[in-house]
Amino acid sequence: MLQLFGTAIGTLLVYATQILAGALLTKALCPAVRGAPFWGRALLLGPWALALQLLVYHAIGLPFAPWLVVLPWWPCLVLLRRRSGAVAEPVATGGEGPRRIAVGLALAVSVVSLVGFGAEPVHDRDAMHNFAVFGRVFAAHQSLAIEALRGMVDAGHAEYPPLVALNEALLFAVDEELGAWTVLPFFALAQLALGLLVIEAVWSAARPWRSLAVAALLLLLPQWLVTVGSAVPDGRLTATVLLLGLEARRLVAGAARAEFAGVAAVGAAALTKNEGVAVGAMALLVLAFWAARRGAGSRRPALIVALAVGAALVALWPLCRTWMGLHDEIADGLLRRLTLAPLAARMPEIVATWWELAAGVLPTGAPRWGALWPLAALAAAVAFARERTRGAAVALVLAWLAHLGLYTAVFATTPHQLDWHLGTAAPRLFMHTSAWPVLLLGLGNAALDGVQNRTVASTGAGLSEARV
Amino acid sequence: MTGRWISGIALLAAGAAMAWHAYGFGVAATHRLSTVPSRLERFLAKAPTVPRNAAALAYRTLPEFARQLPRDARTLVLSPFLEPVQFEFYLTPRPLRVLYSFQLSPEQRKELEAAEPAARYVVEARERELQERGMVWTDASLAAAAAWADAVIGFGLGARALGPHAADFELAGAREGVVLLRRR
Repeated sequence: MLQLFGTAIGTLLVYATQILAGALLTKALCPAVRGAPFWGRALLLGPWALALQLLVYHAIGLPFAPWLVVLPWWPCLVLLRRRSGAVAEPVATGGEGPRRIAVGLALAVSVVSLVGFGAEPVHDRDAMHNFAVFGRVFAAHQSLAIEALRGMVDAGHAEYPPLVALNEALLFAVDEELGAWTVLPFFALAQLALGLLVIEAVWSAARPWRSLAVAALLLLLPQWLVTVGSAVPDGRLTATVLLLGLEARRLVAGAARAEFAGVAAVGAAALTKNEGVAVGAMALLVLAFWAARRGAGSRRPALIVALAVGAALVALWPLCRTWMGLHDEIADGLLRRLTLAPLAARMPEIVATWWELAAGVLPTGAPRWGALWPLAALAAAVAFARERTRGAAVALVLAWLAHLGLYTAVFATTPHQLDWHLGTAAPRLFMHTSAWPVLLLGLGNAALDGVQNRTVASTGAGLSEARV
Repeated sequence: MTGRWISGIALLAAGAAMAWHAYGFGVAATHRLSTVPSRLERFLAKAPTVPRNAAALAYRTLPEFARQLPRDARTLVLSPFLEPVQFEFYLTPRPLRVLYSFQLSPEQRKELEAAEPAARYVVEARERELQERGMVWTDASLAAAAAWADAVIGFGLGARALGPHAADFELAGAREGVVLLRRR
């Protein structure tokens, strides 16, 4: 009984520290963001901060003991309590009643997800082979345990970015047996983060009830409901891609430190999955173009610093992986194999898979993506029809196509059997790209108002001006 | 005026989509969420002697066996399963070796391929992988691993699976057809 009590306290402390670390980071990077958008960011950035902390601990030889990890964060609580002098940004504000309902729905969905996925402990499939087993190894050895990773008898991909495994390691260190259950809220919290960011993405102060309807549609997407809360990092990466888009929107709107918040999202994506490394690199490319444009003005030095930091964060795990001697068959050979011949030969099958995923149904008979794609197309058309949001609509459609094109190239050059790889990986990869239609819906919602949402509107204006 | 028309049409579209969506959510929720107790029950009460769900069987048996083993005990796992099971999840940091023994008859192969078209690729890749890693259970690999091990965990095999090496080990635990043997 006493041990169970200790496990409960330790587990709660680890989760509280994740959220505290995220809140501190969010307050530093987005000083004018308040409310649900603040906590959406905190839930995503906290685990990333702890993963970075553990990588540093490994580098300087400190053990991964939970108390040693959580201890440095709690004195910083006073910083969180200090009031920020920044004027609050109009991010997902207005229409308090509907907004509270939307946040309540996001909370309810994550609780339901926890109950649903909490029916089974982590014990098989990707959640075990590619993540939890490494978390257990990190916890047992209190370090990245390079030799142990290299010598594992039958594990999946030890070379995958370790954000999830490192955070799981803290929970396994608290209780190695119950860890198979206590890691599950980590994924429900990712679902909550996604929900809160979705509300931010689509909210329009002028039409809160319509915004609530759009947010509810998205929060209840069947594909998200049956995937995001499961113990794999794809839901978390989807939320991080959405955060990347939101920070780009804030950057265009001229929000303070948005470039650094965007770079934090890039870093979190790159430490979550290999696809996150690729998406992060592409985001930095876009940021470089943004910094190089004529209108960058006085913001250019900050953009250049952000680019340098972002490049270091994207390169962090690939460099660590190489240093640790963990071979990544797919990433290492990608450039060598990237020729047009297999791309052309495999393209029809890959495109057919994307189409099936967009239009298909789940094994339950439910439409996999519900109304997302048709509504996103409608929203894109509405946003394109308005001059002030046209540039942003084009940018978002291009971002979605580039994201999908990136994954198409990965599939075309993968050394594994294509049928098998498409069958197992494509649904999860396709989910990462669902962040872009969400942003399109937000843009379409703002365009319907005659552009009354300041943040979204200025984004559209900024993008048009920059001719993106 | 045009704005109002667009708003009206958008609201109608959103309403229709919401109805479609609610239907989809209902189906998904029924499948995924309302069966929680029965799913949990099924998971915890899987048929004890038939190693149908290897990973679940490992979850139910290995934590108990791990408690009986010192953290430096060299452990050999003998597995009859086709799919990989993360024995390390339960046994780390103990030094571990795993030997797999699965023999699919031609009929079983056909059955598997009919159920999952990509099965041939999966089975062949798995067989190749085990060969390359020296994890195929043969008389020679068993002799070498048994000589190295302080403890043996056998799934659905019993002590007799160790053949001539059985005399070196004694039964320390058994559950659901999984046995723990310790060196005498």
